[in-house]
Amino acid sequence: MSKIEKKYSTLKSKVLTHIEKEHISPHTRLYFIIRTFVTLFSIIIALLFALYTVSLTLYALEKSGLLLLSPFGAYGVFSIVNGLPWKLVFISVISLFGLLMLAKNAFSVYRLPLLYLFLFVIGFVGVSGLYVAKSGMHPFVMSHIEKEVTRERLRPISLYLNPELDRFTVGVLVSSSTHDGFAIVTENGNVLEIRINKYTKYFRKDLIEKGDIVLVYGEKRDPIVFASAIREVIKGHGNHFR
Amino acid sequence: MKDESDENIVSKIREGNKELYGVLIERYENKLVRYGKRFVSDKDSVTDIVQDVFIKAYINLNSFDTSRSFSSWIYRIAHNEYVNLLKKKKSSHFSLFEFDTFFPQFVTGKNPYEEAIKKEEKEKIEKIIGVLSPKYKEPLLLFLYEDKSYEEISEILQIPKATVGVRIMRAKKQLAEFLEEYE
Repeated sequence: MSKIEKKYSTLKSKVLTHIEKEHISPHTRLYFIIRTFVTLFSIIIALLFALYTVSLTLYALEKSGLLLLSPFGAYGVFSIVNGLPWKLVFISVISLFGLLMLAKNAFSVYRLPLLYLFLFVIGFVGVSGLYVAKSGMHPFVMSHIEKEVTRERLRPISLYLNPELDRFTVGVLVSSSTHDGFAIVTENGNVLEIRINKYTKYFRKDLIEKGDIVLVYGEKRDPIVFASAIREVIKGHGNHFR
Repeated sequence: MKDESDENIVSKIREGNKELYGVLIERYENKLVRYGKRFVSDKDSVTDIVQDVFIKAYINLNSFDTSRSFSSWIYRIAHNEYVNLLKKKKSSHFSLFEFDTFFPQFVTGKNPYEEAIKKEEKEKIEKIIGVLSPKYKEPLLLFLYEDKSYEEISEILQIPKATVGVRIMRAKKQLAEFLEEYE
């Protein structure tokens, strides 16, 4: 017996002795069924979480009026970048990444180009997320949360969602300023009080002056409008209304 | 037992003929040790790793799908163990994502040129294969010395078949450049 052959046969006996000595036996099929079940369950949970966060991000984007009221040009781009719900975006990206990792490891789809898997998962979560964002699930969940918790505790969530706001856009004329906003006169002659807070987006108080026509996005509760986003439309154009 | 396929032997072991596992060890110990010695620089650890490979394979025998190739399956386990060793030694860099698994070029199947030059290249390549990174070294080793097809290498490394072709092609290119530089 050559040296190498002897070494190999030693390896065989080592393995078999170890198996026998340590009473090692193959895992049962039930073990692998449970493991597969746990993996699939994790993937489903990760998928639902990713779907929820992505749809919440899309919903928050729509509700904030970010895309609707962003002005053109560099300032518009800056406004969008500045106004994006970054924490939500970050959580969405992390959840998507986690989902992709789980899917990659579980199904050995790595043998296919990862691009296909990534496109499929991102496409599926994106389209489904858009559907969920439009479905009214988030306002329902938010209204439920509102009933259960105090507004202060809700603040971190409402910062991104502004759940109390309904889409409302109006062209107005600034007539005078108040400490927490300003008043406007609409084309019909109605006076509305525009309330702003620290969550109101793109509000450049210094630049908005008496006589400007502004566009307000927020919830209207006559005669008050709780502004979510504001931008000036025409500078000083409304002076002749005074 | 000599003509019995690996997959049939696995079925028999599952049915209770545990002593047949020795036959599988006999069939693969030589190949896995040889493969390991070419792949990792730490030659001393190879036999210990192969021992672990057989024990892991035995423990997970019920997860093996007998309609597939046992050879690819056990090579896959060996690949994981060798890569773990390289990672532990930090002698090689492994990326979480390899770009060529995202966008593999459409190079598939063995080409006749590769078949024809295989034998001539083998000895020469073995001497200098160490200059390659594991990413390129491993598919070339499996292709040239373990006689694995692109399909099997794709199974073992869990990368697209087209990526296997690309990596083998690049490995050869790198070796050719190396030879040009030092000869």
